[in-house]
Amino acid sequence: MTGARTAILAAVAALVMAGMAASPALTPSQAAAGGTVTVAQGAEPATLDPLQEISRTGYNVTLQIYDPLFMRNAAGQIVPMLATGYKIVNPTTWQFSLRKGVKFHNGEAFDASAVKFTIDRALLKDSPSNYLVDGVKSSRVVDPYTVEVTTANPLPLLLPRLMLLGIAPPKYYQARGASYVATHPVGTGPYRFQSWVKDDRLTLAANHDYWGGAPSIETVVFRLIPDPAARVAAFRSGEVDLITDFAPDLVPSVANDPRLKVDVTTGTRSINIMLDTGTGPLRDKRVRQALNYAVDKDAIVKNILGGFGTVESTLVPAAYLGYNARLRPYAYDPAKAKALLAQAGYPNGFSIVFQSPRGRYLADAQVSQAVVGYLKAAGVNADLKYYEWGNYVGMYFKHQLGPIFLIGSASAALDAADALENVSCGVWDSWYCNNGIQALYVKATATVDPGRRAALYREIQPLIYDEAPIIFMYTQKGIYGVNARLNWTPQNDETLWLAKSTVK
Amino acid sequence: MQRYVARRLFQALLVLLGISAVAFALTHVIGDPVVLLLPPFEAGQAQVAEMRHSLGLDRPLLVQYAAFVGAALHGDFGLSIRQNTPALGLVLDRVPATAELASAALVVAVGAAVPLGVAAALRRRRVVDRAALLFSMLGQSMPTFWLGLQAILLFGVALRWFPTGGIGGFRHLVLPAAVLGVFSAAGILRLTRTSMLDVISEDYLRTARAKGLRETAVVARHALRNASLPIVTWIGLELGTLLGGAVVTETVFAWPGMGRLAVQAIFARDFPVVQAAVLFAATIFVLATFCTDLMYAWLDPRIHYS
Repeated sequence: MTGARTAILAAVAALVMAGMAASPALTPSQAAAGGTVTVAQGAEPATLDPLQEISRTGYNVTLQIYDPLFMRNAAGQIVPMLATGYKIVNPTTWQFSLRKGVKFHNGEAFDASAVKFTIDRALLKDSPSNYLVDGVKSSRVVDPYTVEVTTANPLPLLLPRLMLLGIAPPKYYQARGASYVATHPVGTGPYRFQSWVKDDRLTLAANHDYWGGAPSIETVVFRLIPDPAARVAAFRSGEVDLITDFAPDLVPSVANDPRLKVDVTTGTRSINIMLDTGTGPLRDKRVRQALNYAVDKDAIVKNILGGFGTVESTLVPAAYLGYNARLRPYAYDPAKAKALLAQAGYPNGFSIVFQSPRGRYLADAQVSQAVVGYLKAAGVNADLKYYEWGNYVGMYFKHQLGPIFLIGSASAALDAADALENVSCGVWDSWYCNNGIQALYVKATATVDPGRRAALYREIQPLIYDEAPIIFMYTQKGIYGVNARLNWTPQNDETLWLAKSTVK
Repeated sequence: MQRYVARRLFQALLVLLGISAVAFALTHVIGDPVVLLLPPFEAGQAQVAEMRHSLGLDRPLLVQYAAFVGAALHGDFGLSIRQNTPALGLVLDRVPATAELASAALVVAVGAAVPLGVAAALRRRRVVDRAALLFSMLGQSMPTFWLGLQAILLFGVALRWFPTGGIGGFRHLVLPAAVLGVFSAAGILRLTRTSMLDVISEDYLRTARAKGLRETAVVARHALRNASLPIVTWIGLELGTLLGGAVVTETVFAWPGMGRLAVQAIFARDFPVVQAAVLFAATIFVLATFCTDLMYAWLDPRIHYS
């Protein structure tokens, strides 16, 4: 812990982020304002209360209406929003200075009490947003434009987690009640709520008084089109300008249309085959390595995902802080797999249970089937069992899956800690424990300085790679359909930000 | 007649009670609702216990069921877990959209199926008949999602005649109503044809013709009226089914109806909404069946209820 301490103390000096003093996150657009942009997603928010809605498709809507304290820009840098800077007073105390002169859409003034109100509501045990303030002890108003947040332990991920916490107006909440706010949201964001036909469309109008400059696009419509093929059809017909979760197999259908383009991000949803390293043959490192050599991951990504995935060397995707670019994924080498199995004492392989969800992740059932095929070729007879997601996730939470199973994960904070938790000790979502690696992991997760933290993460990954507690698979790419008339860039953290976009 | 109606009503209530038991049980069969509902991160035991208590899931099952039925009779299915608003309200919000699509689909279905079925019966084993049977076979065997997507690609993307989905004016209604209507039409057509064939060789038709009635009058007034009993039954049941929401069509055409609400609620483990939707759809279905029974009396004076 001493290393972590020093790192934190070094950061105690007033820490103003690079670029923070420069222009705010958004430069007012020069293009003529006006026009309507229609976005289609496969799901819609259940509520527009930013504290209640925690799905990505929901954040895409709520973060147009509510500003968080910080956000990431298209280049992936953290930029100030309602906060203008922060100071780490001591390892467990952060002070945020807030933007002045900002008003909510209803005229209510934004100040420190709004931030405290929002954090306090998220801290309530039954709040779905509780995970964003996990580790936070309390918040305190220092002066009208300064808020202090106290954490139980050093919490380096506080900043990225706060990026998903839209700041709500306390007076409005208290006057109207949370269930009214759920359908009549009021934030400080670039768009104000206009109307919502549930299960059909949600309309937002530009906030002309936005502190970051009025958005160029006057009206944004979020349409719900659950069927992936119908969503692509609506995109092809020109009815919608932007679609999320573009089905990879339909990408060729828009290839010849100059009005339509497909934008791809490296993505953050990492799909892996977990191994219960506490049971049977999987206790042996050589067996686990053999399984990694046995599966042709490139062929799976190419043939099943249509190429819209990146084979990873560990469970940390390239978009995360702390990614180790020097590692190369396990090669497809069936001979080596067999040799390693023989060395481990399984020349004739073994039989084992393989569990998989069906319909939760892109082509999950087919991927599992392919992996089972490769394992069989190496002599490992995996008995493939499919589960409906509700049951599957229930078993996952109860640590009942295994010995081999497929699962996906993503870190909204874009930090390797969230991935490495899956190979840490003593948590419900890990099936592996190594005291040496754990010591590094604990040290890393308490290191506030991002550079030092990343270095520790990079130190961990070769060890994990060698230990192979997982069949490391791939990261799904984010695929968007964008009409050429819309000037918009997708972001790796999946944020869908329209305040700076323009239309032709 | 009154006793018949009373008995029928009593039976309908029994059916609803049975469905309420199934709806109640279902949510407990799919797994522990608390575990399914918790967000994907570690939840403390205290949090699980607290949630279980606040949802009343720690009481005996029979007590939970009695409370469920009692509240349901007052239209209270509790708050949607996902949306934090009354569950029945969410269902009722979807009724106009579902009713719009269901009635349009039924108009399409009856409008296409009854004339075609009659024509097929009158021109048995000829081109019209074969074409009608082919249409009926295709209509029933083509998966709705496939037909819907083809319709979207042709009329929405290639020709741009109609929007690809969503709710709006008449133009938005055309494609989903047609696709849903074709599926319903298939069954009605076959039944119309068979029922017409049954009566077409009856003596009273020969008599009608012999006394010099025009063929249209013979068909409409004598043949169709007598053949209509099973057709009306079928249409009544079909209406009941359609009003329960058409999940696949609603999904493909992004139609904000009840079927999709129910399916979303199932996926989200939002059991108050699932229960409200199931019981509402069941009530509509039972009512439709009940009304169909009553229609018999009007259509067929021979039926006496004693």
